[in-house]
Amino acid sequence: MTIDVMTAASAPRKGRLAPSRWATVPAVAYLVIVTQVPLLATLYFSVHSWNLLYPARPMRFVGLSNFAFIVTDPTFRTAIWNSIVFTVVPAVLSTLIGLGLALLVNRMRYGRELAYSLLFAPFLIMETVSPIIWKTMILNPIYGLLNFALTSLGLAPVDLITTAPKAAIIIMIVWQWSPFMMLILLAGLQTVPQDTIEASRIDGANAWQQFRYMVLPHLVPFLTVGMLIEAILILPIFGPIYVGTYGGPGNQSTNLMFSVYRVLTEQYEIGRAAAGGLITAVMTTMVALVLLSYVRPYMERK
Amino acid sequence: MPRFSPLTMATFAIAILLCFPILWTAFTGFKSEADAIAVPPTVFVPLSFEKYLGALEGDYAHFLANTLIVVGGSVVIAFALGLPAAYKLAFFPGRKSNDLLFFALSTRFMPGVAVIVPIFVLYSRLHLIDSLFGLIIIYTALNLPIVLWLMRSFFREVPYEIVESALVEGASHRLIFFAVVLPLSKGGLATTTFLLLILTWNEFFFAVNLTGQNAATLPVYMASFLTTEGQSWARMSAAAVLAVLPVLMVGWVASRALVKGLFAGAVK
Repeated sequence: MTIDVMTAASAPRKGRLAPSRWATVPAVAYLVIVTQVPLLATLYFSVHSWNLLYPARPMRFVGLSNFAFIVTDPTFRTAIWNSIVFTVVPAVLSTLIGLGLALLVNRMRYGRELAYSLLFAPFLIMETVSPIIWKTMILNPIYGLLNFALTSLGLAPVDLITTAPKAAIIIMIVWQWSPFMMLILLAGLQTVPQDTIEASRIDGANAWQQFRYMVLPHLVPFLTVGMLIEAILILPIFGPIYVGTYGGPGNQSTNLMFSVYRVLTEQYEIGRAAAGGLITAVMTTMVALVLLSYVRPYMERK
Repeated sequence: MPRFSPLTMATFAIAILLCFPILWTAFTGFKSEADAIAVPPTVFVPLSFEKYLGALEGDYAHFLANTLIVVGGSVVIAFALGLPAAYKLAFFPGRKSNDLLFFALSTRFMPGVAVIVPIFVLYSRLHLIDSLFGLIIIYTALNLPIVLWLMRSFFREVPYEIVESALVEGASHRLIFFAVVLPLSKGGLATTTFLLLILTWNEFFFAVNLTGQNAATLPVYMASFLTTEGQSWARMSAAAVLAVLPVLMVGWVASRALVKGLFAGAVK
């Protein structure tokens, strides 16, 4: 779905035989109504003050004050900063781990399918189940396996969820998303021509030189596109925060997605929630524009 | 028996280590509650299916049914809306085809939080909060861009000449679509279905915002588990495994097809 961008609709075929334009209308109309209309409504709500708990108070135009609130409110400032941290750090770490896994799996001759299936499993786990597993089985300060491992080694137990909630969330995201990068980079490794590798090996290139000068250049587009897609998908991460820490302790591990959820469902502040939602959308759109500017040349060359 | 190289052994060791949280959870589901939280962790203890069977008995069936209805409904509607469009985009792309595809993709990449507020308000007014139908409407929109992108690229594997000659013979687009293109794209259809199943089965943000006791899906049910039954680790583990098992099985069965599908066109 993703890399396919590079082969997006190429040379138009003969128009005379084409089906009527109505073939695409239902799909486009549906997407416009269910996604674009609400987006415009979000824009409208974001410049108004309106609380569902006080139906008697009419909706009031307030200009940009909802946005001003979000960029000055301590919780939302933490949320914006954490949204960036929870995107950049896991994207980098999962890329490094995914690259390592892809190189290992790619070199296997036996059991490749089985290893791949095992390694891919974390990505298939529900985003509410993986934090449950991590929070209880692994990270629980009394019964968790990490605590057992640490005390067995004579170290002091740690309670990551309360003392370093952001690290705990990053661990959960990296665990879930490394397989995604592995998948993308495995596909990238298939494009590396084996005969040139073989030739370079005969010419005396060592493993590192082969990787650095033969393999890595082929992987660069996959690394770039993979990281950007991952960033777009991780930025609005929700499950690990909701289940893992509920944004706490205090508000220190909240992100924009989670803060908007609370403002919407606990305070019913429609305007502020809308403004927070728009800021999130702007952030992902900026990453998406970088992605688009990167893949456009590939498309137009075709 | 092939001889495994050290590298292969190391890769398997890493794979098992990464899967260990899942394996340990599955194992914990077989234990008694006391053994589940024993320190140090227990391995050689009596095991039984009791917790797995017990998890199936409670509300699980209700939330499983909800999930199946929402997933099934949204996948079927997304195909109904998206397949004709994918057919046109694959065989008869116009000048606007790229724009359409990127528009669809941009809606999929839009974070849910950008549209949740008006949907929440509207659903409250229309009494669609906590309804399966309300969730199906949203999930269909999440599935549609994927149907367009993937099915378009799978349809393109069918040689245009086949479609063209059928047209010249006087066959209608409807006939060609159902009798030629769709049967030739069975694998792609399966791959796309699997991917949609996985994504909608796991969706959490819209589900937790828009549903309550009645229409909640499995991800919402699991999220509530930690607060309501956080003390019963064995029961919770069994329920967690049951909630992810269908997707793991679909994912494993389809993993080869998934890889092919996700990168349709890229590896050529």
